[in-house]
Amino acid sequence: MFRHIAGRLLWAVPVLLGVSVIVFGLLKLIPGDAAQVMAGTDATAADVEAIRQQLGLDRPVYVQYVRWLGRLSRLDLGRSAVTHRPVVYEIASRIPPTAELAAAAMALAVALGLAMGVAASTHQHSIWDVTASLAAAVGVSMPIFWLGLMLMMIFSVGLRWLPSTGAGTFAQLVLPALTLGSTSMAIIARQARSAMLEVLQQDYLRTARAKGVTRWVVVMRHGFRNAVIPIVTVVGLQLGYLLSGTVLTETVFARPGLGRLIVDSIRSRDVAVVQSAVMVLSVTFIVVNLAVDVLYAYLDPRIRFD
Amino acid sequence: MKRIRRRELLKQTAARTAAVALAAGAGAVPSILRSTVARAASVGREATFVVADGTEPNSLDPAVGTGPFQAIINAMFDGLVQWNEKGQIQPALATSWTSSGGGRIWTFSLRPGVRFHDGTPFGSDAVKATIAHILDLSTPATRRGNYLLIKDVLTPDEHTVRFVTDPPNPDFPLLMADGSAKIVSPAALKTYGQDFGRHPVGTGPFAFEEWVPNDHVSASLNTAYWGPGSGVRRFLYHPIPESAARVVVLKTGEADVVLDLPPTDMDALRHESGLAVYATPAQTIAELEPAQTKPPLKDVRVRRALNMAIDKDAIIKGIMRGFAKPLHSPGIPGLWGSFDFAPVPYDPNQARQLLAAAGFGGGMDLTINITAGRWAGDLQVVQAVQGYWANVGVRSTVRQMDFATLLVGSSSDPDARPGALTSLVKSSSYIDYHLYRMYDSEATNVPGTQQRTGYGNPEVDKLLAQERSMFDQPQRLPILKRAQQLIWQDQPLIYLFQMVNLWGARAGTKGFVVLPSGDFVPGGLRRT
Repeated sequence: MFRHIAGRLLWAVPVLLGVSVIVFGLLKLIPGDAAQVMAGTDATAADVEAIRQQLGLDRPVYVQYVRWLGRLSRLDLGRSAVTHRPVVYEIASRIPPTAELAAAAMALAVALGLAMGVAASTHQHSIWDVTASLAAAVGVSMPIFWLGLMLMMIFSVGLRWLPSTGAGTFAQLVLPALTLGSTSMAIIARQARSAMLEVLQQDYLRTARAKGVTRWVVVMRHGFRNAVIPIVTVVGLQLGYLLSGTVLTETVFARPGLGRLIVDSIRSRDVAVVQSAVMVLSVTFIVVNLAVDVLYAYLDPRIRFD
Repeated sequence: MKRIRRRELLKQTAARTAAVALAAGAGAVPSILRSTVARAASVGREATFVVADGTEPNSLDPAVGTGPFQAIINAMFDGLVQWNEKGQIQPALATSWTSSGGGRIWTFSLRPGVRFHDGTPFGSDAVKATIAHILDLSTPATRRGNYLLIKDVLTPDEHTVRFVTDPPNPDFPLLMADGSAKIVSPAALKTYGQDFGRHPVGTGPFAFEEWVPNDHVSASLNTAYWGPGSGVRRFLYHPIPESAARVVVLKTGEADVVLDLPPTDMDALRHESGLAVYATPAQTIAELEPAQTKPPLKDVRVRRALNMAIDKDAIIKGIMRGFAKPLHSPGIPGLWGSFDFAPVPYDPNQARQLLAAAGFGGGMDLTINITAGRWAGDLQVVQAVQGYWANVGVRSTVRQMDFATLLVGSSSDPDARPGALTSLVKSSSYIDYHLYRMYDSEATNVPGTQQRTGYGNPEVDKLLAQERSMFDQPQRLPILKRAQQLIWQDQPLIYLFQMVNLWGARAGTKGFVVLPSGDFVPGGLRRT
């Protein structure tokens, strides 16, 4: 068990380094000049050069990378070229709304996805199954952007039930969470259905039914428990999808958050913010995957005692 | 540490999942949601005037925050003078102004009895502090270059301020009407320093309340405002980047005024009850900027032929859905001193003849660089141009790139990119600024300048220098006309059209204007 977790933790180090190289490298490859952005449009060439030296942009790329990594480890992320405020502040202030959105979307996806998947598997080939499978197929196929606008048209413009944009109230969270969570919900539903179907056909469940165990106990206690491991894998992977999905969802619904900060910063070529925000998302993704791995160990004795 | 058993973990997971499912189920009950919305909406919504546009402010310091989010800056700050919707300047914190000393001295009389939101009295020292703040190199003022002509700011008394400029400039009051010249509280500048942009204090009709990044900036009514009083208690600016979502908030009434609407929705919005949409001429033109220091674009006949080969009316009607105006001027129609000339007709046959006469009867190869998506329909317009040019034998390649790369190209040496054109839009609030930067040879081939076409006409240079030193406005007009006539003959750009501002307002809202610059200016806001 300990070895398993320690191994996973050790693996996270090269992954993080790899991510940092990619994030740093990509922003170096795209054209444009961070010093020019910071200096403003009316700056003289000398002003831009002074800022370039101040930021260390005149040094070789590998030196810039090592220095950036050093600052990153001390959480000294520099200042935003656009707002001139510490990047740590810019990012920290955007994490709560994004976390709120991702958590709500995940809660919806897990709750509805599991319910749909389990119902479809226990009523195979019924109208429930067909409906759930159809809903899952539609959920997977719909782009976030389009779904968000459609939900706005129905619930905000047509029915006037929910506000279309903004953040801060429960009502303002419903449409974005539904939009962001729909694809994950569909994937979780499909995974839950197939995992449950496989488990429900096992001999020990047939025996349980033959012994007169109630249907609820058969499905939830004996069936669902064994089906949960592949579902946890999918849920873990979906969190990564949800984090990347916040970029679009926050833009469509005009919500403050990390995703929108990244979009705005890319547009204005605010390199320090983009690099740090992408690193935060990557670290979150790695940590979530680590947590899923640890969870396996609890759920599956075969891993725990390996 | 207590070890969690598998069974416990599964139980807890199931219980939590059920709780979330219940909560989500409850969330789907319309009646509950309706009451939630009603509660959320009732918190001051009736008393709040909401304006939505697409851009998050980078700063609320007028010197720094010069992007398309001026609504909130205009709600909190006043300038010495301000633009009206007819493109004229009118008094604001200054009641009158005169020039003397051969145009080197501009004296403004200031409005007495005005106070900043923090209680600081407004006077000449505030104007002096504002200019010093803009010129301070530690302030990231985006338009500092425009203020470098100010050599001194004198404060002979509390209600008089005197600017000494070099060179003399007849358009100095227009500079003072710029959004970046709004007057800021000297006390707040001292208190907050470079963080003033997060704690803005002005004299405007609304006083800063809070800024939730990417969500809203709000300001409360300044009951002691010197200008027309408002009938609402709060002003809220809501940045919504997605244009379709801006349409939604206009329809639902979540916003009172929505700026920068997409042309594709205008027809549908016209038939919507409870709101009105407007298409008003903008101070912005769409054009292609040819690098013209070398053949083929060096030849005026080629540039004329390229203009003549495009059916601009069809583009306006078909792609822009009528939300653009034909452009028959090297200036910007609507600006004082801009003149219209004989339209260059759509005539592919004559275009072919002109190209043949210039030695390009067998066609030529051009490249059009563009950053797609900067305004609605930009790429389709350029593709249409490509098609029209193909019709007269001109082969063109459309190259899409990000804006930073585009500007690197457009500001590079025109000698190094013969046959290249850059798709850009240009916005100006006064004619001299526009003509100088687009057509004066001092400006068109300077490293780093965005519009480095290499165009130059010594006669045009002479006329522009002449009109810029004249302080009698009517006398400037014939010179401006002559300069523009010469430019129009040279056809240094591929003129596409003048843009329009597309915006909408809920019924019952009044007390504001949307300027040709696209800026929202409150002036006694009301919503009924």
